[in-house]
Amino acid sequence: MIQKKICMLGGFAVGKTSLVRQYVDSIYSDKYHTTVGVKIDKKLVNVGEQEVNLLLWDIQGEDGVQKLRPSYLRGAAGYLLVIDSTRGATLDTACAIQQSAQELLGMVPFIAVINKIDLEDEWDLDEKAVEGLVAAGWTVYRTSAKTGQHVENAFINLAKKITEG
Amino acid sequence: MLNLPADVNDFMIKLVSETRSPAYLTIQKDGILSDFGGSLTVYGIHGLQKDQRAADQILFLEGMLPLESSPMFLPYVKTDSGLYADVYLMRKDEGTSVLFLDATFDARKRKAIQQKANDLSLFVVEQRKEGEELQQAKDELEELVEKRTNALARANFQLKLELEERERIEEALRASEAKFRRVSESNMIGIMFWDLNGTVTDANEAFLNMIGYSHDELVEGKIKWDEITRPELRHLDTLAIQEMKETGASVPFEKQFIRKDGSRLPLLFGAALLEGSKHQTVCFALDVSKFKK
Repeated sequence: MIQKKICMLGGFAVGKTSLVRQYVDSIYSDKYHTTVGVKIDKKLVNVGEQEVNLLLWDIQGEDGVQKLRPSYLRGAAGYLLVIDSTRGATLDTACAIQQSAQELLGMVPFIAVINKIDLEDEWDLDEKAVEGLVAAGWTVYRTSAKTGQHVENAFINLAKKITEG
Repeated sequence: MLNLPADVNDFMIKLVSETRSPAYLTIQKDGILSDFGGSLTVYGIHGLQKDQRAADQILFLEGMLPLESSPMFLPYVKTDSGLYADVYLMRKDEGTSVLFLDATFDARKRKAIQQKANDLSLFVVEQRKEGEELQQAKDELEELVEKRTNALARANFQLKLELEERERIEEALRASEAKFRRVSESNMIGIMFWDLNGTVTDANEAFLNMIGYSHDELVEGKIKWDEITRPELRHLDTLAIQEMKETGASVPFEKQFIRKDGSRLPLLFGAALLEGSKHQTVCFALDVSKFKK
């Protein structure tokens, strides 16, 4: 078995903690609780014949006050970049975080996750900007931490990229 | 160093020991746990094994070692016990020291503030979106009202044109009717209206005088065109009716009516179907008895 550190990155209230809770415990709560600092969970998965213990660092969301702390990212093998489909500004935040993460970690695998797609009536992202990310080579998943849609796929795909890379 | 007196130094160490639950790990350069101690159980850390890989036992160490810079600070790490720890990693010749200090009070205070700030930010975003949606709805409504107003104005204009056209037509009709009435009421010639069933529906005084019937008898429908026509000449009427159906009017022809008193009345007779009707006709009759004499 190998262990790999994965960081959950993104603006505040985009659903990072909810995605981890859904993936690890199959639990979802509508109530928003902000994350302070970092909470680490683990999830054992099989990638091919390789057992991988994913260490999921649920890091406090970034905003104007809480900036990405390099020490949290140290040693990460990959990261999930979470975007809130109902708040267009979180896409810009995610792009800025991706730049910082790449400077700190180098070209490690990452996956962009557009979360809260169950709130389809509240979609607020520029579809062309999303298409631009895909065109730039980003792997983008549309997920719902509430329903669980595509959540496992996103984590597993990242685990594959990490172990195969 | 601050070069503090020994008693102050001792107090500080005692204070930290009592309030921040210090704990430590000592890790060799090869990542093996060589020593540990302090209040590790406070953080939910149990059963550590020396001479085993540290990162297999303390998950957050995975990928961290060896350090590139020292000290490295991980603030507010939520531990298995639910408490938050400030974690410091310090590089030394033999490897790395890891220090845990309880930061739960600060973390919870910070969390409460951060929660309010984030809730407020989300509320502002929500309000802005609602404002934008309201503005959009307002713009759409105004656009709709403008379209409807323009359509109404166009409809009013069209209606006005139609009313003017109708007034012109009615005026022309009134003028035409006045001319006809003048001809009819002048009694210069006999004029009557009848349908193809044979009933005379209207007639002027000249016509009634010609055939010797009264106006009351006309109103009561007692004047039948086919009855006042000489039987041996009815075939002329049949031809005239056929001509009217084909062309709308018959060429004037001579025929004879039978007056109420039984005498015969030679006359020149012409008929035409009323416009838009297949049964109602208007006829003129000119008494030619004087010419016959």
